[in-house]
Amino acid sequence: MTSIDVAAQSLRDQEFRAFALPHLDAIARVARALAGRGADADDLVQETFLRAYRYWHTYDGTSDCRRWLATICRNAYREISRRSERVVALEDHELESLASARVHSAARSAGVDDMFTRLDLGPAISRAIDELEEHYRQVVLLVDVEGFDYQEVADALEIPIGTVRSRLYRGRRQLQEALLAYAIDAGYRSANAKPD
Amino acid sequence: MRDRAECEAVVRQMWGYLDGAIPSAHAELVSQHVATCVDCAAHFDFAAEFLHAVARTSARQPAPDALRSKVLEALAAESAASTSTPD
Repeated sequence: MTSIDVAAQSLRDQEFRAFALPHLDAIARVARALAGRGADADDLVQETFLRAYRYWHTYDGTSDCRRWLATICRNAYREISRRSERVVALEDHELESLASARVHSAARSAGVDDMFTRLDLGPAISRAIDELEEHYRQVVLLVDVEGFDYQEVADALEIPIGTVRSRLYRGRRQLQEALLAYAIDAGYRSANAKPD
Repeated sequence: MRDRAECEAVVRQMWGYLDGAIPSAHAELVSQHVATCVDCAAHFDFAAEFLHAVARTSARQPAPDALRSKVLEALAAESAASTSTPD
């Protein structure tokens, strides 16, 4: 290796530390969404950053580095996962929108329909997401927390886009139901709630 | 009083509309309905507030220190390996 090569690699290392490593938290969340918690997700994060490091010369420096890393993570997950194919019946995803509207009606009746703006639900939301079945949790995390679009999730999980919708909407409805129960159990009532 | 069937048709598209995942012509019809229907607007507001609350939770979940160390060690090994690679 020549001194020029060494200098070039040093520059690459500096760039990688400055631009790629700050996204480690986000990529760890994506990996957990894809592979679940535990060693598989950690291995996926490591594999993502190793691949990104090896192919850093292909990153153009102007596009969103987080999305570039997330794409590597999704591709790595597809290649290295040995997951079994799951067959999940397609749902009428529009019915889930109606069901979510009914959750809102129930929240209004209970006097907690402003809970998302007036309560700190962060810990309760994290717990409720953890308690979702894996195929709902994956999609909710990728779309609602990490900002992936439906097609990106469909590509990552190798499922039809209709299945993404079904899982996402059902997962959201289950989360809303869990948070509604939490707010009621916590005794919260809006200042605007009608007295009993 | 709005047409109940129209309200149901609009609410069926609620999540797709909020995600920007329905055709623009459908989205326009939904927008027009929600702008004039108090009940549907309340459903949509509740759903949008829910999505904002879920999105905000992401900042609370940093990667564990052990994972960060593991990645940094792997990258250091990768960098050292490429430095020592003969021409």
